[in-house]
Amino acid sequence: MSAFRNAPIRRKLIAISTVAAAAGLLLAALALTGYAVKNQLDAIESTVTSVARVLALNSTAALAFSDAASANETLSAVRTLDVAQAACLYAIPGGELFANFPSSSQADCPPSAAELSRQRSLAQLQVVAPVVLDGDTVGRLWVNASLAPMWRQVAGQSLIFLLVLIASLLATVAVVTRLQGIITQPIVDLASVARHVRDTRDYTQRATKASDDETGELVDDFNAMLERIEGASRQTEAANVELQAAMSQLQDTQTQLVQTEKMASLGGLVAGVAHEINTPVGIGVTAASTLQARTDELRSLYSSGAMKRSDLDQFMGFAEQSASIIMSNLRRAADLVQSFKQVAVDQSSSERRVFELKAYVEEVLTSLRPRLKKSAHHVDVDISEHLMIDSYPGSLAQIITNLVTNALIHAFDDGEAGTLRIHARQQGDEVMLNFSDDGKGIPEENQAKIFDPFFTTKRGSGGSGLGMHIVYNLVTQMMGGSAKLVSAPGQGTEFKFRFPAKAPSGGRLDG
Amino acid sequence: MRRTNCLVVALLVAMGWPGSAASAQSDLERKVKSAFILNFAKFITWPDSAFNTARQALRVCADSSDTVNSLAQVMQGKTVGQRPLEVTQLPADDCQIIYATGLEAAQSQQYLSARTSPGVLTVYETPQALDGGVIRFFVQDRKVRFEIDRDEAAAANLSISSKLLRVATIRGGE
Repeated sequence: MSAFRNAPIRRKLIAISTVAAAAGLLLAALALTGYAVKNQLDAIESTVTSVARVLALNSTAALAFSDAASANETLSAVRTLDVAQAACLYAIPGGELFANFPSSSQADCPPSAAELSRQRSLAQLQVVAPVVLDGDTVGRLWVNASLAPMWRQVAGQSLIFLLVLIASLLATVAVVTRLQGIITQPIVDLASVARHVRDTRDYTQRATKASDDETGELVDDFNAMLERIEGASRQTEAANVELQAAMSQLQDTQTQLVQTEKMASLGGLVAGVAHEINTPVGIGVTAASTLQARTDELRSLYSSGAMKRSDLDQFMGFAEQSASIIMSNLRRAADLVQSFKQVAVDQSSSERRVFELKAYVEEVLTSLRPRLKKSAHHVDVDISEHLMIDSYPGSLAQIITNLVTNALIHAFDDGEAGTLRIHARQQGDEVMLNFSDDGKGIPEENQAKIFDPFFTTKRGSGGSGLGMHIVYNLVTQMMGGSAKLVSAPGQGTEFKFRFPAKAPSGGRLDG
Repeated sequence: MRRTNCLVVALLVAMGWPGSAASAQSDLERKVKSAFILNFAKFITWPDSAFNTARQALRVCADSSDTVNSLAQVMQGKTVGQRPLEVTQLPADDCQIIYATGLEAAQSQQYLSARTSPGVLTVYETPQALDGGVIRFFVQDRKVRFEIDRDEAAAANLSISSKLLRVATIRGGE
């Protein structure tokens, strides 16, 4: 049954039609045959009864005058009935056999009239008729008819019915096979369109409506559904395009922001440089202007001729002292410019070179001194002497700057004095650089997001949320290393960096 | 009637009866013939003129007293249609059936010719056919058979059932 359930609709239709036609024809054939059999049986019985009565009527004289020969002759008329097999005449009241047909076979007749009865079985029909003379029964006539010819006829009819049945079934199959397309074709077409739509995802396709029946409605509904899907998919596509545009815009903005942030830290550097150079230059200017004043004094003394030897001695001592002050301060300024120049150049370019880590970190810290001075924090640098690395100093400078700035903003409350510790050691080909503070630590929920772009807890007070993201990107992408955060509230914060002493080539920063 | 048939059957069972045309009739033969005569009455229709009333008895007249006795015995209490039967010794009037038992032609002829009007069934048993005789008994294969002369029947205005004709030997007619 399940095999039939899974058969194609076409085959189901043919099978159902054929079975229905067969059942109908069979039923009709059975009913007709049954009716015909009953009719024939009745007809045969009526005929045999009539014949028996006629024979009985014609046998009265033979019985009355004991003329067995005449009786036999009369009985022989039963031959006209092709179904009759035997006719037997009995005398009454004796009940003994008086005449029979065929005359040769007395055995066909019941031995006595007492055993006569009207009987109808499947094979035979037995009829009894009284022989009446002037109101008295003088004999009984028994006729036995065979129903075999009738059954032969029924068999012949059944054969014809069977042939008609087979022919009808063949015709049904032929017609249904020819016509099933009217029902199945739209469904098959619809299924093929549905399959095509599923395979190609082309929702612009439409099924063709062939009729206005339920299948037509199905096609309409299917098409309406396709239309809706097509609309929805078009909207989704449009939304996708918009989303992608927004995404790339966002990425552009992020890149720009990162760039801006870098420039901002460069600006901070320049401010630091200016502030740092201001002091020695100021001292130099003061010393030079004092020297100029003393020189003017001496010149007027000399012009008036009131200059004394002690005056000259005193001036020369002062001049030497002034020159020394100016010299030392200018040299200091020159040194500062030199180192700032290097940091600035490094920071604004992605130049790679070999440099000593400790000295470079200290140079960077110098540029941060104005900011550090505003607080009471102490920076403890513990880096191996002569640790040379071949990497991107600009990136390192930015990393240190951002870490220090981040620590100053987040690690301590105002007025608190803390310690920042920069610790670095070479380990094999790698450098382990740890930056730690003894501040308030980072809450658990923020630790996972610390390197995410735009993550900040100080957005209101000017945090861009990019500082630590830039640190992470520089370490992982430019310097080819990794970054890890160890922190707990109240336990301070430690950033652990690990990068090759010789940076991988092709380091590039994007985003 | 039933008894008559019993007689016929008895005759058939006792086939060994020595029936000789020349010898005197046995009791059995007489009885069989008496029964036959009763049955003749059932297969033959008399003209209305043969009777005065619808319920008038059918009178059977025979020449010998033995035969009259035998007929009376067979026909005791019987009817043909609605008519009762009565048996009379010849000579008699108003007979519907006249039965001459003699084998002598002259004697039988005398009885047959004694009929006064049409509508009389004449039965006789001489070896040769007689003038005015409708039914003639004879014995064949030890069985009582009879011959019907259709011309005489027609002359006597009697209508004989085809059933009776079928079991009889026919004489005359077209």
